[in-house]
Amino acid sequence: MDKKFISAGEVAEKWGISVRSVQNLCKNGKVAGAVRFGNSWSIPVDAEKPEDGRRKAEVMVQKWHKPLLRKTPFLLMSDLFNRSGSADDAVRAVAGNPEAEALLKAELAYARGDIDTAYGYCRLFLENNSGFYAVISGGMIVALCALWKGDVDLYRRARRHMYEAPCKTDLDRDIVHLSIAVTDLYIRNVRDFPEWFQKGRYDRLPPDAFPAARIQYLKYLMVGTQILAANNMDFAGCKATDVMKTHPFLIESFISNSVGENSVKEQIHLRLLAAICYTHIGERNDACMHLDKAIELCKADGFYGILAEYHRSLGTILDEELDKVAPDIAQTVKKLSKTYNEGWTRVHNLVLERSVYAKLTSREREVARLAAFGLSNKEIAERFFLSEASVKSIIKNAKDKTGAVSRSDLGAYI
Amino acid sequence: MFGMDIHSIKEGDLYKTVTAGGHTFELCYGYYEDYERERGEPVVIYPDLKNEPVHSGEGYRLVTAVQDICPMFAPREAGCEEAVCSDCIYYPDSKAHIDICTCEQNRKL
Repeated sequence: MDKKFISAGEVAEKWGISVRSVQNLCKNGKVAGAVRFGNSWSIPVDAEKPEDGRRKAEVMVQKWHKPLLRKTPFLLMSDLFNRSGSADDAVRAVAGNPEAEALLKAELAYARGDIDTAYGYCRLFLENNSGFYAVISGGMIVALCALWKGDVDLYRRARRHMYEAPCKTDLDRDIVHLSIAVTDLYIRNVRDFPEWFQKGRYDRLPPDAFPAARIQYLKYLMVGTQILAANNMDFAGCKATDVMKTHPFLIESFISNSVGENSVKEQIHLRLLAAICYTHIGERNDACMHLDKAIELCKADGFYGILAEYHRSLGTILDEELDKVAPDIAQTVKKLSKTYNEGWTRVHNLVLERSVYAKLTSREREVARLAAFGLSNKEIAERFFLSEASVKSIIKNAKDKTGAVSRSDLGAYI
Repeated sequence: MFGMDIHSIKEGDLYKTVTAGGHTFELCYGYYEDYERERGEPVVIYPDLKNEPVHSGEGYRLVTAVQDICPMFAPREAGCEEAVCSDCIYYPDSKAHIDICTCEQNRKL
């Protein structure tokens, strides 16, 4: 009888790896045709050795010698920044790929509060890259730089540019929609996030976007609940203030994930969000615990910009903990936070004053969004089971309410 | 999830009264097609000035902002896709719902 299956031990010898590794690969479904019998695995004799996902840095350095291909819409640093104090090493890992280097340097400069440098690198990156993920990633950083600068026109231009990302599929459009919604969330403008994202189903995104998606999902929940609470409204029949008390359960599990995955940047953001959450529900000790850890991580790589961004939500508790655990950087963070707060307030007030979130109906917003994406009236009509005449009327309404002069202008206002 | 639709409009509700070229029009909410009633909210219904033309005292045609363009269309902005009359240079106020078409070739003398 032909021997069609071999043991894990035989495969380990053949592939030059440990038996345990073979068993793990089989358990994770990476070995085609492997079958488990009790505690043993039977593996097809011609099974191919799967690629070793652990050699991440090496593989990624190889990847970066190619043009920046489709990658996640979220910031590159999530992939490369796996150890506190190693942010600059991440830049060295992409040396040789000028596009990736420019984007990563923009991210780092932003995190450090060096906004002019971040903006400069972004402009360089966007001048040389017009692919889908390049436009989304670069556009988001420019929009956030605009907050610091208090430049509402730049903010709007960046948002509009993100709408121009070359979409091929509905998922691409959803990702653009999500990215714009995430950008708006920075000024507490809770847009209608894609429905799948509202339900926490960000597994539609590429896996390397998950760390960033978790942060944004948490922010979405927290900001949305805070707005409801501020307006004394319920959420699904529960008092919004009671709903806020459940957020720590989710945040703590996300933090555990980020620690396990060595995702340093994610951990920083999650701990700062945890501090905000605990402060709101009156659990100061837990807030300080997370804040102290976030400060320690930020200090290791000079991420004073990130601390400054969160200062407006944390306020005095951040000042007190900085004075206590990091007095040497306290003044730097406070100075940066003053800059950020001034710029943020200016953009927030101007955008929300002219914001049409409250004025457009859901359908107007959806139709206007598709029009901004460049879909024809016929395509939009088919999407919504409407007549073209109705679509034209809806777009006219949306233009009236937003002040957009042309169809393509709508992207700046919705 | 946190979206807040702020109003519910019914068919027949008045959207706006518009004056152009000496004529007054009441723009109301409604449905262009019967099947659209199932889709929910009504839309602003514009008069069909293409098939039922109305002219000003000076003979200029009145057109709606959402009306299909004619062969004399000249875009106000470059790259004007899915153009309608309000995108034309002969439509004086791009924000107006109904306006006169100042194109002499469309004028009734």
